[in-house]
This record gives sequence, structure tokens and C-alpha cells, in this order.
Amino acid sequence: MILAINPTRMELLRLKKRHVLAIRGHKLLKDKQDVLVRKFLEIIEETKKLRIQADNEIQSVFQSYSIAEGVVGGAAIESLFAVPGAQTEVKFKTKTIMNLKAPEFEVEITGNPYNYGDEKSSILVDMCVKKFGNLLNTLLKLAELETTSILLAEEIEKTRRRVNVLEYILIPNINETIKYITMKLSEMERSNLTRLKKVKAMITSKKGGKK
Amino acid sequence: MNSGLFLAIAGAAIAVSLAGTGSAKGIGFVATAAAGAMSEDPKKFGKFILLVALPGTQGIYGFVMGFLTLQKIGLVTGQLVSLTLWQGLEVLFMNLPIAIAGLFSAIHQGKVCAAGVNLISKQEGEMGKALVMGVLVEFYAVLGLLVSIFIWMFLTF
Amino acid sequence: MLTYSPEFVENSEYAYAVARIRALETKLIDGAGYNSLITAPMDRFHPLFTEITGIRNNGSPDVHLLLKNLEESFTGHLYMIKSFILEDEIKRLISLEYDYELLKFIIKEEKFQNISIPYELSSRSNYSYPVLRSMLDFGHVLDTGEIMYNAYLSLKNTKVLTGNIIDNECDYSYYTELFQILFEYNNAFVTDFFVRKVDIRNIRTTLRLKIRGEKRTSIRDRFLPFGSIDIKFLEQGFDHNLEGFAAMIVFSPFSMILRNVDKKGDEENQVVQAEKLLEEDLVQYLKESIFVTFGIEPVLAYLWVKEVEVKNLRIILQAKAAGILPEEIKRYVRGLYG
Repeated sequence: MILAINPTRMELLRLKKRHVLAIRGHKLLKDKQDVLVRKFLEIIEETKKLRIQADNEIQSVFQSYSIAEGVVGGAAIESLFAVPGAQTEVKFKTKTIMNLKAPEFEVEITGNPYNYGDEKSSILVDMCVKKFGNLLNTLLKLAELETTSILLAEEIEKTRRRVNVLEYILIPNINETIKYITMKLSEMERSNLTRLKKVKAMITSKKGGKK
Repeated sequence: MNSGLFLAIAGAAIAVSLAGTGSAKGIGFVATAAAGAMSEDPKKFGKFILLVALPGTQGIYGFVMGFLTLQKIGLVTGQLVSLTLWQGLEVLFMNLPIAIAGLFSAIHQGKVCAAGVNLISKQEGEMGKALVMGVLVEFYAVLGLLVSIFIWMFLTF
Repeated sequence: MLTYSPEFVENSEYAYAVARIRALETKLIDGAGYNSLITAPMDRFHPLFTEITGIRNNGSPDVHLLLKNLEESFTGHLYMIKSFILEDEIKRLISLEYDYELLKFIIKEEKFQNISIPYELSSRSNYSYPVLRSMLDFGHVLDTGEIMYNAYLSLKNTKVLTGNIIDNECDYSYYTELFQILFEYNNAFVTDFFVRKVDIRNIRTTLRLKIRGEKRTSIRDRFLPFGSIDIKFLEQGFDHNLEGFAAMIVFSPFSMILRNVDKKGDEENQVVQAEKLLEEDLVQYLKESIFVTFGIEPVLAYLWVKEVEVKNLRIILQAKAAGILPEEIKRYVRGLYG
């Protein structure tokens, strides 16, 4: 489609500049898209691994809690865990991947998680508490990766749309317009030349008539 | 009534009462143990009843000896013999073996049999062994009775 | 040791109780029973469990109902044992553990938040929960005993409380009162059982502190001075591995047990195994009560063995419900009796 501009030499110059810019932008965006896709695939792979790991960990934590409850007894384990010993604080930071703001979680456990007596508890309870702490880290890492992958997917979508717009609409349009303006300009030049020749002929014939 | 006769009757009374006390106490042990075991498994009554009855024999021995004494002094037939003090003492001492052996052996036999009840309630097949151990204690009550009867046989007025 | 005791056949008042205990002992679940429970497939597990233990779930597949019934059956056993025992102080002693558990709950409830008190604690205790609570509130020192009341007061007046402090303070008071009763009662078998229990607890605590990576000085806060192993041996063994630790307490019978632990796994699993073996040794010790014909020892031994049995069944139930493999479950089930 021809852009709605006046076919002047000024515009032509500007369009040519735009054309160069569009091609360079297209190249850059294409590169960005490639990098994003690569990054996305990496993160997806990592997420998949981490998800399996988290699944396993949840199962193992559940099993270890069951065993601990079996060894210690339901009433006793309720008493042991009645008073929370550790405070968890999740810190939120952002990091940038390709101009994209991705979240980063950091968990900080303060206090003593083993906040119970030694008489009724067992090493199995300790192991269970430790596994729960590890699980928290894994889950936060998983959340981080999943959010990042969603954000990346959106960004890829956006970039691809831009690339497509540039590739299939803007650049052809500019090309077409440049062609149109060039043609128009040369047309104008030709008609001008013709007119000048005509005028010259008329003037010559008048002069000749007078003589 | 003279003092000899008095001592003889006292001897019969001692034989029956001491041996009987021992038996009662012994049976008491075994019976409570058997009751405890049976409250979990009532089908074992047949196995326990022999053990429960075992300490009862001493009482019977005491009774037999007491009866023999009464017969010797003629109390059963109504024709009382007259005894000197020394003869009365002889009759009294004649009763002592079964009285004392009966008393202690019955109590200990009760304990052995109660332990036997524990054994049977844990291991059902071991009834014979439990019974043998009870009978071993019984042996000494029998010895007491034997000596008492020997004295009874050779004692003449 | 028991055979030297002069009263070992004299105390015939226990004839009924011991005979009944011997009959009950035959009903304890043996190794084959545990094995078939552990290896049973899930669809046949519940009927088999009811068949072996006699605990019903009324057709509901809910594990928690079974667990509740299991605890209730143990409470029933506790009442039965209490009815066998003639001495009042021993009746108090076997419920004392639950009294102090209740005390922990009462303090935690006061200081922190509303906590639901497990029903079985209230029913197994010498006092029920509301009774104990009001007695402590109104200061009935004579009813609760001075030691318990003092523990309550000191914890109530402490500003900064953690679960650790509450639990360990209550445990300390519990053992103080327990050993006071035992000192008056003077029964070698029962006293030795609790001394062993404290020893095992101290060894376990030391090993666990090492796994947690805490400092050596933390042993001192958690040590209970009622056992036969002095704290200095535990502190010396703290820096060593399990083998070295066993060498430090070589004078005690537990050294041999710790040496028998399989050294292949990582340190945590070694301690898990050590904990199991130590507890099994305690059961083995209770077996000695078979030499007592009339006396309180078999009665108490049965109660404590039953406790281990309930623990085993609880482990099997929970583990089965969580889908743990049979080989794994066997690592946790405690040793068997008789």
C-alpha cells in the first residue's frame, strides 16, 4: 500500500532514510527474537526439570512427615509443631533478561526451625523439617522460573508481531512508496521537459514569423 | 478327760487346720492366676483345672491324718483310750510332719502351679512340664504324710 | 539381676495380673504379622489390618479413623494395666508422661495460640485437661505435685519462650518427678528401665545435634542428668563419627549397639538406624521380666511393649497410606517381642 504522503523529493529522501532504519530495526528485532526463543527454550527445559524435582520433593516430604508422625505419634507431633520456631521472609528482586524485568525470589529463614524438645521427637522429625526447608527453596525457584517463562513468552509474541509488521507491511509499503514517488518525480520531470521543449518551439516559431 | 487326750486331739486339729490352710492359700494363688489367664482365653479351663487342684492334696492328707488320729484315740468309736501326758505328746508329734510339710509345700506348690498357669497360657503345649514341676513339690508333702503314717502304724498304747 | 531379687516369687498379689498378661502377650503381633501387613497390597490392607490387630474401621477407608481407634485401644490397655497395679504411686507413674504432655500443651496454648488438645492425652493423663488447667490456675499445689506446679510457674513467668525451652523444661520436670517416685518405690527393674531410657535419649540427642550442625555446648542445655552416662563422655564423642562416639561410651551396653549400625549409608540414615536399634534394645531389656512370676514387672513391661507395638502399627498405617515401599517401611518398624 502506498503511504499517504506527498510525492515530493523531500519526502523521498525521508522515506529512504526510513527504509534504511526499518531494515536495520527488522534485523535487530529478528536477532532479539532468536535470542529470546533460545532463552525461552532453556528456561522451559530448566522449569521442566525443576518441576519434576519439586514433585519428587513434595512426595518425599510427605512420606517423611508420615513416617515421622508414625514414629512420634499424632498427639506428640502436634505438640512439637505447635510453636513455630522459624520465620521465613521472601525477598522480591528483579533482574533483566533482554530488556525484560523478570522476578527473583530470595527466601531467608531466621530463627531455629528445630524448635521442639528432644524427648518425644526423633531424628526423623529433624529430617522432615529439613526437607520442608529445602522444598520451600525449590518451590520459590520454580515460581521464579515459571513467571519468567510466561513473561518471556509474552515478549516473544510481541517481538514476533513487530518483526512481522516490519517485514511484511512497513518495508514493502516504503519500498512501494519510494517506487511510486520516484516514478511520479520522473514523470513530472519528463512532462516538464516536454513542456519546456514545446515552449521553446513556440518561441522559435514566433521569432521566425516576425522575421 | 486327761491331759494326754487333750494333746492328742490338739494334734489332730493342728494336722487338719495347718495343711488345710496351706492348701487353701495354694489353691488361692493358682485359681486367681487361672482366672486371669482364662479371662483372655476361656477355652483353657480344662488345662488349668489340674494345676488348680494340685495344691488341694495337702489338705486331704492333713484330713486323713487327723481322721487316723481320732480313730487311734477312739473318738470315732466313742471308746476313748486313756493316755498319759507322754503318750499324748507322741500323738501330737505324730501329726506334725504332715501339718508343717503340708502347710509350706501347699503354699509353694500354689506358686509353682501359678507359674505353670503362666507357662501354659504362653505356650499351650507345655502342660506336662508345668504339671511335673508342681508334682515335685507334692512329693515332699507325701513324704511328710508317709512319716506320719509310719509313726501311726508303730504307735501302740 | 531379677533372679537375685528376694521378692521375685513372694509378691503373689500379682498372680492374676501376671497370668492375664502372659495370656495377652500371646496376642501381641509377631514378626510374621508385621511382615504380612507391610507387604500386603493396598486393596487388601484394611481387612488384613482389622484381622491382625482387631481394630475396626467400619468399612471406611480413612486412615485417620484407624489411627484414632488404634490410640483408643491403647488407652483401653492403659486403663486395664492401671487396674492391675496395686500401688498408687505406680498408677500415677504410668500416667505421669501424659500429664507433662498436657502441661506442655497448656503452656503453649497460653503463650501462643489456640491449640486443640488431642483427646487421647486428656484421657490417658491422671487429670483431664480442664481439671489440670484449673488446678494450675488456682494453684492447687497438693493436687498437681510441687514439681509440676513449679515447672508451670517458672515457664509462665519466663518472658521469651520457645517450643524448645517449654519441651525440655517439662521433660526435665517429668524425669525429676519420675525418679523421685522410683527412688521411693525402689524397684530395680523399673528404675533401670528409665535410666536406660534417659541414656538413650541423651545419646540420641547428641547424635541429632551433630547432624543439625549445632555447637558442642548445646548438649549441656539438653542433657538430662538422670542417666548412667556422664555428659563429659557425650561431649568428647561429639566431634567423632558414630564409631568414635561408640568408643567414647565403651563402658555402656549402648556402645555395642552403636557399633552394629550399618556404616554404608550417610550419617543421617546411620542415626535413624541407631535410634531404631537403641529402642529395640529397650524392648529386649523388657523381655527380662519373663523371669518374674509374681510382680509388677511383667505388667509394666507389657504396657511398654504394647506402646512399641502401637508405634509400629502407626508407622505401618501412615507409611502404607503415603505409598512407601515395603523395604523402606521395614527400616522404621521397631523390633519384636516374645
